[in-house]
Amino acid sequence: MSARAALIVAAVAGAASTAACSGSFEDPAIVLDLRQLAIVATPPEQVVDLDITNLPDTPEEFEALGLVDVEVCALVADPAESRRLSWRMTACGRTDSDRCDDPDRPARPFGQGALLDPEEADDAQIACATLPADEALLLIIGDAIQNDPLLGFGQIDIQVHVEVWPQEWPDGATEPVELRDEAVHGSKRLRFAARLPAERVANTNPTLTRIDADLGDGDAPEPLPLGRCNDLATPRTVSPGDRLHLDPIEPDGAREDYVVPTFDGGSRMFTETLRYQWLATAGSWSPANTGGTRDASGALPPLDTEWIAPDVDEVTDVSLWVIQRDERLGQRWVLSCVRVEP
Amino acid sequence: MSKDASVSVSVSVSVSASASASASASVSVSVSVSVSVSVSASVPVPVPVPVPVPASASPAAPHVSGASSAKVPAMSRRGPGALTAITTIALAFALALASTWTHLPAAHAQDARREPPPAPQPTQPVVTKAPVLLQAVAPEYPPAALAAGKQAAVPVRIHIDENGLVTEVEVIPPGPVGDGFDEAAIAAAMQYVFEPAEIDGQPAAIQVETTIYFVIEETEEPEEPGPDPTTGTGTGTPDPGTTVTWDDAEIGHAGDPSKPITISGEVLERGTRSKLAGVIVSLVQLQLDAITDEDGKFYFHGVPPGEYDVLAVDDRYDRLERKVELGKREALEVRLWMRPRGGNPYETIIEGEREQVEVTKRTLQRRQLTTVPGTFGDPIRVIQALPGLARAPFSLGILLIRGSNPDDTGIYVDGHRVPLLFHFLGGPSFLNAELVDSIDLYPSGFPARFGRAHGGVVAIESRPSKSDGVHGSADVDLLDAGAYLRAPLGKRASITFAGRRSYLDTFLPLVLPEPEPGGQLVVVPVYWDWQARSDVDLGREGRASVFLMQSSDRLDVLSVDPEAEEDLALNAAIDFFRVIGMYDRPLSGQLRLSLSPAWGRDRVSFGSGASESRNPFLSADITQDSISYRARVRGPLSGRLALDAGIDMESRVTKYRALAPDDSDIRGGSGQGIDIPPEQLQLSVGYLAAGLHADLAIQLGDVRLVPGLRADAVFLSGNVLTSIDPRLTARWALDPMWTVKGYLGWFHQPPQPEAADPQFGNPDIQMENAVHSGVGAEWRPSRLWLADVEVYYIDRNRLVGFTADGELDDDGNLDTSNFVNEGYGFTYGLEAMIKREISDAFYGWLSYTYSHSERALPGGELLLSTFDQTHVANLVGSWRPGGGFELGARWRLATGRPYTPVVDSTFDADEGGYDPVTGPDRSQRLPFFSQVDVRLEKTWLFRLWSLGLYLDVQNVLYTDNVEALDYDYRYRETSKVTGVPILPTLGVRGQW
Repeated sequence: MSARAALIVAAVAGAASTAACSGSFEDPAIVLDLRQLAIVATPPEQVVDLDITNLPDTPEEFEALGLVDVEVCALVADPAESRRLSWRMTACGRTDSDRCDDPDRPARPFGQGALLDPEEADDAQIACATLPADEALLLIIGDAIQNDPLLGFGQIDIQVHVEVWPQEWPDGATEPVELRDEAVHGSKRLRFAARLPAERVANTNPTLTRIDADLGDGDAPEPLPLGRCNDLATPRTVSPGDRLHLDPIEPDGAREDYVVPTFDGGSRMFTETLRYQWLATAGSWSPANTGGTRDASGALPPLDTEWIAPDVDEVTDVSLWVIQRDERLGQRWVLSCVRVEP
Repeated sequence: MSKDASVSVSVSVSVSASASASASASVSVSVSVSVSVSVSASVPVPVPVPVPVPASASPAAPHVSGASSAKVPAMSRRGPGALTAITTIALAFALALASTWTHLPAAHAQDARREPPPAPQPTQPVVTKAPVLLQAVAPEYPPAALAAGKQAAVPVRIHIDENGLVTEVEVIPPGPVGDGFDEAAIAAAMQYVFEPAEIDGQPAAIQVETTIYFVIEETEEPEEPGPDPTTGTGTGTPDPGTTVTWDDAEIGHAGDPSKPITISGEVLERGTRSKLAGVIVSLVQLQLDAITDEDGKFYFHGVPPGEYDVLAVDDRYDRLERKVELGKREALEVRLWMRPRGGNPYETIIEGEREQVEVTKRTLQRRQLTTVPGTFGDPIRVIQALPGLARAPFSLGILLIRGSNPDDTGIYVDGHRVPLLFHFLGGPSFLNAELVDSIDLYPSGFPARFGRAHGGVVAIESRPSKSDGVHGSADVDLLDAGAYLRAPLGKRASITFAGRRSYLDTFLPLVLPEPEPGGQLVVVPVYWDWQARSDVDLGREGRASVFLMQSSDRLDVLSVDPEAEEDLALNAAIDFFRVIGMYDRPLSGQLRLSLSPAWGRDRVSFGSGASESRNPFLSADITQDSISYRARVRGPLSGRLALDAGIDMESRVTKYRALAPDDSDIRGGSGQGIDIPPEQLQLSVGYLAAGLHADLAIQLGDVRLVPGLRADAVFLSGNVLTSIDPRLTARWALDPMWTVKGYLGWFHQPPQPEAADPQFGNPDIQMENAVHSGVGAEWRPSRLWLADVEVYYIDRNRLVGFTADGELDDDGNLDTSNFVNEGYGFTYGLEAMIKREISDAFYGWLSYTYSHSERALPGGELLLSTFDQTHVANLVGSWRPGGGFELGARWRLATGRPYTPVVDSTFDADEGGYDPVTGPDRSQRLPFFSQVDVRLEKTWLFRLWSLGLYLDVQNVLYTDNVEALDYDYRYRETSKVTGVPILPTLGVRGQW
């Protein structure tokens, strides 16, 4: 034990020294170029009467499962460029790369399309497609079970691979040039579980009532107007360097109770935790991630954060995104805009 | 072209050896091997100077003083209790320095074989310096001749080249003498090392003639120590009125022992006050020599009043001359302070095998290891520059031996396991250098007394405390400070204390800038250690000692982001305590018995506070209490057999306490963000191991075979794991210079206790095992030089690894074993080393390791090992130009370790981060590592103490060595994480 424990401690020491020496990189909470910010699946989880050791092999048995179609939507931002984008979605079993890139395993492309520029288009540009509940999906689930070290015990996840890439429109061209080499890739898991224990119910995506905002000047917080900068006639206005305090307000029941099976045949019940990821096109966050599981003292961490307005010389609209997630693949996003006036 | 020249050189010889034969009648049988050299030298003289130059033509004349002009006439007095003739050969002799001749012209007449000195001719080459014997090797007494009681004198001519190396030895008339004496004399003389002779001030080849005597001496030892000679009660002082010949006198005495002691004294090392044994002390005018005894004392009997030159000579020290005046009816006491050669008491060389039982054992001697550059004077860190060890990233101090994982290597102090060797982040070893007697590194094929490890072994033997006065040392540098103190407790006991404390955590905040938002994290290691040791000399009943040590390490965070709401509460600490008892005594014949119990407590804690990441645990604390016991019998059984056998037992109770969410019964758990309140988890695992081991060394002519066997039983989690490890090593001395060697052995290692835990691990887990094999050769052209090359192959099987796989039982419940014996791997490689032992001015070595190591995790494919390094080379050298200065440098080269390249990334919408998309596993390597360290030390020697000032600079060329790669959140940008940029350390060390 001692030698191995000493090694662990040495590794911690090494990791610490690495942390101490790491270079200065781009802030992940500031969106500068083409990125996928969130992918929402509805429903995120399906609980069915599935025997993982005996998958259905007839249409009747498949119908009896009660699987439903899943709508998958990806939130994309591309603040640095003014251009159109193409996208494509594929479902497959989970892979190390989070992509459907294993030619030896079943995969199902189920959607593709194009988006206008996400920031400049008149309407919100969301990439959405529906994964049908058909036998191809069952094939993917079966493949996922085969590759699962726990043989699908408790749940089985498959993944949706979302590719987004820019289009280029040369002068006079009638067809865009697809810049596939510049694709950004995203992945969203879809969960399927047997009804074990019997009282198990499927997860739903979390909800959010509003986001309260204040500048810490004693004024009462006001709900942050939601929408893109293009959508909001009167966005919230701040000055450079202002610290805008943001507090997500959850509706009652936003955190669901749920049960999971235990290895010994029993079950345990938990209550969801919700996490918030805060993103913007400028400024900085403190902190950029809030919520989550309780700390060592048993307290749940705070949900609120502060956005520090950037130091700008002219009126600047800054896009804000808040991504809400639970631990059962549920997800939701809201977006807003703040105008920084020097 | 070679021309004869006659040079006279004298040799003085003393003899001392003894062994107890029985408790009631202690009889010592000494084989004295004495050498008398009168030199008729053949000096290669450059053309066109063909005229031989006799040595006597030089200003210096040879000195053969007193009894040492020829062999010491060995006394032959068989005592009535002479029962056993266990012989020990002891050889102590010195060639008189060339400069000695000047003072002792009268010695000419005593060299009967010297040619008449022709008149000097100014145009002819002149021997300006005679060869000085630096290293002598005792010849092996031919067993048959010894058994038959035969004695002999073998005249030999030794050919010495311009480097001081012996190139040829021939027996000259009236030899040969037969009975194996000629061969034994040649074999021994071939291993002599000389400081080269000089002709006209330039090193030159020369020949010397000498006689090697084989004399059997049996003397009866007094059962009780005699009176102190200085007070009339000392050992060896003849009773008043007794007529005793010179031959009866003990070491340390000279003159007519029937007369009173008139001049006496002691010889001490300047700076350390260590008492020096074996130093030749001469009264020049009387041509009288005494050789200092174990306490550095010497006694001249019956010296008449007058003025005398007292001369002290030892090849390790500068020659010392002092005038004394002895008045009538006076007794004079003299204290002679000798200065170590080069003026530096901190010597450094790297030793080869001490006992040629193991094929590959690299031994480091404490006194030789404190000046290797880049080690800050820490002798244990020198092992990192030996072949077989890969370079540890970030100077972590972990031991990466021949492709094994760090925890596959056993670290022993006086035969008992300790958890680590070095403090955190490249810190020093946990043992004060003064308490280290030797360090043995076994990269593979270690002897049977080491077991339950299948990597390598590092075995440290602590240095017994001595009751020779109060001594100490203190050293202070920019990183830490330490001290050492040794004091006698009466005449037979002593006690030693040592300790060290780092203070980077105290001083670094004073110089660090105010942290900025998002600023860097500064983590510093904080360490301390202490040791205490007491030794008791029980005389014929042996020795007993108790050794206590404690070491502590923790990490302190000095600078954090002031705006972060949640600091990174980094918590990593390890400390351990050991108390080791040792009782060692003669058993029978030359066998010795040692019994050693030990108790220890290790404590490791690590954790992560509330941070933004979702941590699977919050903190863990592991405490391990261990009791171990060793009983060992070792020593020669006969002239051809030697035994090392014993019992190796260890009992451990490991207690795990963790503040963590208990998610062991569900899928995913806290790692996937399920909110499970942390709770105190406790687990206790017992472990009992019992091992029997035996190595039998068999000498068959020039071949030495060491078959060994080790059997272990490990009681773990209700199961008994057993193993039988046969091992065989062999050495074949082809000639005095060439030796070939090989080994083959099986090694088992029990799993870690947590891996066998019924709840969290797999109670059916078995021992890991490995087969070590290797062959090699050594070439030792002289005592000063050694070339060693070895190829090896290690096959590892049943390695314990983690698995996420589960199986459904009949009830549909999932069974997860977590740990399985499905890992395997291999390592092969070549290691070479060329080293030059310490001489007056220089030491150094070049080591090279080629290695290829692959390992497969359960269910995985063979991949390069995490720390695999194809090429590792170390070039170490140190030079003493004189004046107390020493300049050293170390150049380390190593292939970068393998890593898996990141080629792209995928946004993980469920976590909000990015997952890397990797290329082939471990398909790329970090850049080559190259680092030069230098060390400059100046030592001032005072009579009672010494002071050393040193500057040790790591990475003096400021090389950017990449230790790891860091990526931005999307894995698009890469940052090189480099090691030590440049680290100068200024230190001062005092010793008294």
